[in-house]
Amino acid sequence: MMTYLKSLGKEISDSTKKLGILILLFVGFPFLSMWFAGAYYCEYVDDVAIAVLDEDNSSLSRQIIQYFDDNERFTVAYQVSDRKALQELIDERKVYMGLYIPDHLNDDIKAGIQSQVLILTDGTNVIIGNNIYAGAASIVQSVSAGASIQVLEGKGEMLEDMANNTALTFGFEERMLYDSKMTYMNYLIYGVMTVFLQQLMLSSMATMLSRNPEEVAKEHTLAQIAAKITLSGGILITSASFSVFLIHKKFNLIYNGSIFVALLMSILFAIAISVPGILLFSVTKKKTRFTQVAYMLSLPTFLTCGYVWPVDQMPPLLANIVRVIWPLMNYSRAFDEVMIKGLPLDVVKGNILGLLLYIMVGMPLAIYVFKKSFNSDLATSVARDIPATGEINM
Amino acid sequence: MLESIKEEIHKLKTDKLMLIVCLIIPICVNLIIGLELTKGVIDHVPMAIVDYDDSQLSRQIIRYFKENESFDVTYQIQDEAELQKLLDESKVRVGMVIPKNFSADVTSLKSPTVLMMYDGSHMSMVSVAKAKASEILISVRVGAAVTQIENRLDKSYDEAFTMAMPISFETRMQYNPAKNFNYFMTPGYGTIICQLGIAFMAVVSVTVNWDKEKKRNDLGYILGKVIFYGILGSLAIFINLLVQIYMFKIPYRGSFMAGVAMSMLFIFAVASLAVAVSAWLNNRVLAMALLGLLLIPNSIMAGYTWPVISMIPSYQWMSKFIPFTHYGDNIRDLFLKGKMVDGISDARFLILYLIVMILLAIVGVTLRKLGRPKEADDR
Repeated sequence: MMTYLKSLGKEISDSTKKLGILILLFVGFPFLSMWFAGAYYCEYVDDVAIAVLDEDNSSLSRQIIQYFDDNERFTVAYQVSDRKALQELIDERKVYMGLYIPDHLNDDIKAGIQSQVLILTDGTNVIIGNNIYAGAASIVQSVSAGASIQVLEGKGEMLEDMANNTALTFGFEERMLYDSKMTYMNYLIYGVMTVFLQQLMLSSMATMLSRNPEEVAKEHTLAQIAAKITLSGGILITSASFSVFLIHKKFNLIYNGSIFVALLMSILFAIAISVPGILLFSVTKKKTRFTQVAYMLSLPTFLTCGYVWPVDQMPPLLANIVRVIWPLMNYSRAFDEVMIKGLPLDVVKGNILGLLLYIMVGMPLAIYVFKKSFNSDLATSVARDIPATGEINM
Repeated sequence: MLESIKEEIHKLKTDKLMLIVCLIIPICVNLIIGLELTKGVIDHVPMAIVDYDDSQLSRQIIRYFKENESFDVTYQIQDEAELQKLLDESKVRVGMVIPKNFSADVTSLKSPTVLMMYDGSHMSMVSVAKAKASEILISVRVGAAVTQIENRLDKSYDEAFTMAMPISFETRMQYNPAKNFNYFMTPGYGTIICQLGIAFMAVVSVTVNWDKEKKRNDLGYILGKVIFYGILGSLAIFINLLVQIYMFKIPYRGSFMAGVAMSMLFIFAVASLAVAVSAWLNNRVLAMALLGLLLIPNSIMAGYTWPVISMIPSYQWMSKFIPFTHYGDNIRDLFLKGKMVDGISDARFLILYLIVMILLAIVGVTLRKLGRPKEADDR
């Protein structure tokens, strides 16, 4: 314990003298979080340009167009005169949606003939496509039901109320829980922040380990590594909490979670992510080389942690391999749901146990590899009378 | 220039890390992403249903949900409190409550309401589930309306159907009709990882020649670095394109040569950026941190997923200077649409960017030479 406290004191003393590590620990998290959150400042994909081909040009067709133009998700940017022009505008991405209203729409309805309105969307960007689809679907539902009511009333066969209830035999209410607006900000930012914690933790561990790797490897390795993890993890988690507060205040990020559960998970993750950090540093041995590999990990680890693409939709073998080799899967999505939905400890206990198991198996292995790597370096360097951290290829 | 290229070839031969970072990791990441997204479309979203009615109509609705592959009706429960608990604990992502007397109310035209509950914290699952659930419920509603019209107005099925649905809307999602995530994500993300590999190796490549006796042509030196890393990066992207097309069967509808040319321009632009940063900064860790800040957020800031049109103006302006903005949509368009929307002007931007970065690199090396000699950063 005394060694741990002494090491912690030394780490604090060393770190306060280095501007780089201070920026990394204190400024990195809030800066990155605010920068990324700013990209999602607008809640939806609104005012999407659409083009209209109205071959009918009746009051009904104009009313349909008006519905789209009045909806905040759409702006009628072009009115064209043929299908080719409509398709060209979509192909050239001048619009993301085309609305085609056929000739005789109004007359056909009056004559009891069904008519079809065509909605063409550019599906290359699924996010824009989904937003358009959701916006168009709500308009389509009301237009379709409205037309049916008019038909039922128009022939004098039903009174207004009866026509309404026949066209809408039942309704359905959609209740969006936990994030009523379902915004990208709330959906993504906690996941992105878990990756920031991962990357900043890796960087700070490498910085601290690179100061005195032989000394750490020589004796009291666990205590010295624990001191480095405590300092890095402690400051970064505090910094992360401040960032959540900032984004909550500035961008209305939802925060419903238990501080205790969120902190517990974050502390365990900070320790767990140190395991691959120590292993990677033991192999690369130099900070620059460590950074070259560590920076490459942010994208694949985020994509495979089950945040964007759910774990149960992945091939099971891949999901299990990822879970064994990298701890983010046990943290990212669960942490998000703790914060947004307020998941209780009982529900995330599987993830917590996963992180604990990862630490219990991984940390001794990481320390063993680290000692082996830097103790042998020390022996070699003493024998050759060269610096221990000389050029080493992987 | 040749000396500079030879220097990097020597590194490639002797330093396994370069091979790992520039080629092996990008290819592995591509394989992992492609494998992860093999299904392409989210299905079997866990769902719970509370059926207070237990009528033929309510059972019919439940059957539709059970038969639809988008849903996995894992719970049929007795009350809403239980449903809420399942949603709170993330055991299900969708809930449906069919009210008591639902069928009778439909028949007596009281227009009852089915309650759909969605877990708004999981957008990717819920957006699929919401769209499918609406489709199912609307078709059931039209079916119920047809029955009512048939019975009350003594119409044939066809007449009743036309009265219930005088306008039908057909929605066609072009180029990616299944909304396949693999098609949407992999072409761009597969390249982002290539650019990172190349950039993080190139950013430590430039050294300043302090030896005044050994003359060095700085333009040739810088060009050599850019050419070497550009070619290495092109090779990585080329392999990844082949993996995406032939292994993961992502449809590639455009000209393959156009894709290769665009990819080369893009990766040369990124290599030149990394070389320029390397030329200006002796501190390697700082150089990598700066480059990381510029490149790692590309998938978000360049509008590849969340569109630039939905960002605030300052972000829209910044996105113009990111090379990936001029590449990501183009390569996805070549895959899915078969042609680029504004490929020529994007290519022109990338060429200009490449030239500017090479010039900046030369200025950086020149300025450093004017300063005091510094030891190479060898941390």
